Amino acid sequence: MNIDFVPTAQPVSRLIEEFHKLPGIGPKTAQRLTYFLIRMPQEEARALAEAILAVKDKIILCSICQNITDSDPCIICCGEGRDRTKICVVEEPLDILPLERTREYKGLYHVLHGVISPMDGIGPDDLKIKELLSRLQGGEVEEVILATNPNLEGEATAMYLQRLITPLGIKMTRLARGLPFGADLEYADEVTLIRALQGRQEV
Amino acid sequence: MYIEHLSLINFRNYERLELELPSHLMVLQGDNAQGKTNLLEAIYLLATARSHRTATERELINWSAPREGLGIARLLAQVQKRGGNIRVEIAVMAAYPSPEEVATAEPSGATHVQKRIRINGIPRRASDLVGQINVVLFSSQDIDLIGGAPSLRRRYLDLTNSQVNSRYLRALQRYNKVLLQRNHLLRLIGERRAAADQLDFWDRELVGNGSYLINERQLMVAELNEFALPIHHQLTAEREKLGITYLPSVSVMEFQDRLREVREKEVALGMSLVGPHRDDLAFLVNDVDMNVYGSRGQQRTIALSLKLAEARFMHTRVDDHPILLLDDVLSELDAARRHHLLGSIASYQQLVITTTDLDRFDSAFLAEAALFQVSEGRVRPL
Ligand SMILES: [Zn+2]
Repeated sequence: MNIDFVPTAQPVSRLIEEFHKLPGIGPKTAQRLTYFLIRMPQEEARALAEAILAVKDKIILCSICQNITDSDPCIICCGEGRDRTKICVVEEPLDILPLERTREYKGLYHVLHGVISPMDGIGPDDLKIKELLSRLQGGEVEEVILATNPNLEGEATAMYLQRLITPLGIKMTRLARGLPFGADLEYADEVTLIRALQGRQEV
Repeated sequence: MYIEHLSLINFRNYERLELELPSHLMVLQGDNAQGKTNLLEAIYLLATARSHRTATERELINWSAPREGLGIARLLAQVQKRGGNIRVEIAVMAAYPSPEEVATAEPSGATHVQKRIRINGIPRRASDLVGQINVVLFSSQDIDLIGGAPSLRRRYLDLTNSQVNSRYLRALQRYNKVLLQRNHLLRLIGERRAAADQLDFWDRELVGNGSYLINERQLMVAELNEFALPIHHQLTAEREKLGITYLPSVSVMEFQDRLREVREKEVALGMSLVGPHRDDLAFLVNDVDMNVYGSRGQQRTIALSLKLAEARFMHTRVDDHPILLLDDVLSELDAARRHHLLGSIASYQQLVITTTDLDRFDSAFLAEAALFQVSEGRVRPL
């Protein structure tokens, strides 16, 4: 990578490069963050570094819903008062947060960790689909809500799941299209999401 | 519609331009490489979110400008149109490649550009911009539409349809994404890394969006054909009967079946073989295909007829005058055709014409026009 920059000490340019690898961080921001850290007190810098390592060491995937968690099963899967007859299928762990914030949905989740996208070499086998199907074997689940994003890849994934699950005789619904065209779950506001949940339609 | 004010900052050779544009006729005179075409390009870009001439959009930015905002080209147009005036702004800025792009080392080499678009101050996507300002560009490259490769004619169909129908542009964008995904999937299936039943979704999307594109292209070409026939007849002193025919790679009715027929071949080749991405357009004069058999002169006249028909088509569809941009096209025409061209476009609400030489125009035409001189990135009234 080539960053236009005055020559700097090697540790500095190394940190800039590491920041630049993160999503949404351009070279300018990477520089700014690096110089911010250089001025930071030693303890704070250490705390940040430890927090990063702790995320990598202690965070695992829930063996049931595949959400990220530090205890297995996760707090949602263990939660009292959750409706165990419903599973909402989402693309990424981040997609759960806005749905939880609505307080409208009380069921369980399943995180696929991606969507079908041939150009990225991602097929059904790369997603947590087998894990979802095995959850559906118990007979406890009555409804699967497909909450993949309303774009091509999200729809391709929803259709694939629909074909697998339909023979099981479980009701399948898709979030209503109250979501703005092409808008991801991650960015949807609560009112819109509540409406999308309430208006979900059987597929 | 017409543009009443244009402002350019760090765009090509314009460090800073603030220009009041007259409605009706505007003639820009200047030597080559002074900025005449750049000015038309700016208007075209504001209308379509893309340049008509460059593949490397980084060139749009004036990098030598020693002022604030270096590395960003800004374009702004105030437009008077039916149903309200609008202000369109585009900022073109160098974008750094993302780490993924660096990792995959796309061979494009040059730094990408990013475009920030605002309509009446509100950030918008390119697909929201197209159609806000309608333009018809006449350029010396139009002849390639007749004599060049099919991809140029498909691009023409897409750009023209997108300008009058925002749903067309959305369907096209979706179709292109489907095509990309589907071609990758075909390759994966060929390598036995994916199951063939995964094609179902992408086939359905290909047929659904593709059929819409085919239908809209069909309608557009029929209308263009109707407008072009009498225009061309007149331009050729009634010697040539022009027919513009749409050649879809597949009919909507047979799309699904054809897809099934070519499935094996598609998997073997790893690409989609039927659909609007393989369409073409034929220009026939007295039933002879002008792509193959037309002389340069014939092809040039057909291109002119096509563009005049396009202006009529656009006017009918959007119920407002498109802005006509003529980039030094008069020098290539004989006196009779030049006269006919200027006569048939004079009724449009705004015409921006570039020329190296004012002698190309008769004095009556010039008397009606606002004359400007373009020199080294400056525009002055003559
Ligand atoms: Zn869990």
